[in-house]
This record gives sequence, C-alpha cells and structure tokens, in this order.
Amino acid sequence: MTDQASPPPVADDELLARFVLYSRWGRADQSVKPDAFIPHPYPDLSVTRHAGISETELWQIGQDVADERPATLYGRADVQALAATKLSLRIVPTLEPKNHANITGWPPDKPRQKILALELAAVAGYVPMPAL
Amino acid sequence: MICGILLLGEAWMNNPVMKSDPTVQNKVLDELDALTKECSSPNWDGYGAVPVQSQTIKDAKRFVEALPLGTPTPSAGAEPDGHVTLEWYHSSRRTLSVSVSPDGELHYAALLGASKAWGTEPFFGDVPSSILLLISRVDAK
Repeated sequence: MTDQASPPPVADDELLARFVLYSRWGRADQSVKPDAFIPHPYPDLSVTRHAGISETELWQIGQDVADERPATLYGRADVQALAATKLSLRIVPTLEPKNHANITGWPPDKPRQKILALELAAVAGYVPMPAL
Repeated sequence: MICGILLLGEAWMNNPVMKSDPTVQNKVLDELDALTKECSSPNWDGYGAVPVQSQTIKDAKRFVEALPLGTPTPSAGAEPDGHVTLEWYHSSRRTLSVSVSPDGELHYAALLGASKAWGTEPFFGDVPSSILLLISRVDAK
C-alpha cells in the first residue's frame, strides 16, 4: 500500500487491528476491554489495516510499534471497519506507517467516548500475541 | 422489576452497615495497588498515556469500599487519560464501565442488551444510585 500516491480507502469489511501494549486490556475469554479504544492523548485512534499483508507481517508491525516505545506487545484487538462507521466514526488511511489508519470523529466528552469504546469492544476479537 | 431494583439500590445506599464483603473486595483492591506500579509512568500503554495519579487510585478504592454488601466485584483497569476504570462484565453486551477521573468525577457507560446508558456523576464518597442500578442490571439473571 505504501508505494501508492494515496492509500486505498478502507472497505467496510476490512479488519483493523489495535495493538495492545498493556496487559490488563485483554480478557481471558478472548475479548478486549473498552479501555483499549479510548483515544488519548490524540483525538484519533491509531489502528493497522489487515488488508494486503500476512499475519506474520501484521504481528511484525505490532512488534515494531512496541519496540519503538519501548513496550511489550501482548496482543491485538481486531475490529471490522463497519463497526466503527456504524457508530458515525470515520476511518482515515494514512500512507505512513505501513497499513496505518486513524479512527476519527470521536466526541469530546468522556461518557460518549466510553459508550463508543464499549460498542467497539463488544464486537472486537482479542488475539493474544503468539508464543515464539 | 425496575422498581425492585431501584429499591434494592436505595437500601444499599441508605444502610451504612451493609458494606461490601471485605474478602471479596480484596481482589479488586489488589488490582488497584498493581495499577499504582504499572500506570504511574508516562506512556504506560505505549501510546502516550498520562500517568495515573495516586489520588485517583485512592478515590477508586473509596468507591470500591463504598459498594454495598453483596454487590458483584468489578475488575480494575486504567485508561490512557489517567482515569481508573472499574468494570462489571457479564458479556460483551451486558457490561458497565465506570471511570474514576482525577478530578473526582465518575464517567460511566453501559451496554445492556439493546439498551445503553452513559453519563457523569460526582463522587462524594457514596456510590451514586444511578450506578448501583446499572450494576444490578448487568448482574441480573
């Protein structure tokens, strides 16, 4: 995707990954806490598109994100793009980093951010980082 | 049904003797202690989170200790804006999350089947009845 002038738009059925770098955000039942979807300190939520890359490449992107901080990569929360757009959020793809997009359009007040985060978490799947 | 739940909530609120079971509270209080270590530095979530302040942890503990006897125990967590979260999770669509903010407010959101609720309450040491009602609805059999 990064060799194009502008990134392709995000399709409704695309999966988006939110990498989880804090251990308490994943639950044992393969679900994720809504805390992982609260957009702060930025007004947007940073995600990685699954489209066009392998599972191995996806995890590598997550590991790169973790290494840059540095932090531990515990897993990722996968959510379909349609789940966000149904909530009147927008998904804006970016050229860099690879396969990156921002979920934008969050309300400014905390309670409404929380209800959107709960809605996303309700349909997201948590994938723990595979053992090496 | 709703009236019954409301009455139960009021009974919890109005009886200072009926506090939550200390042995049941221990788990979540331990989780809150762990947050003190895990979330007290900037960027604890890898995305630029602000540190959770010790006063916010103390307020969250006061909230937990103010829960009436028999109240289901929440799990504790933290959000990137430095809020402490207390979560009652039954399933993906029966869940309540309460954020204890550094400025003493309680921001909450709940999914209850097809219904949802969200809002803000001040925290003065007692658990607001609106939040007790939501806890009972999440826990309803």
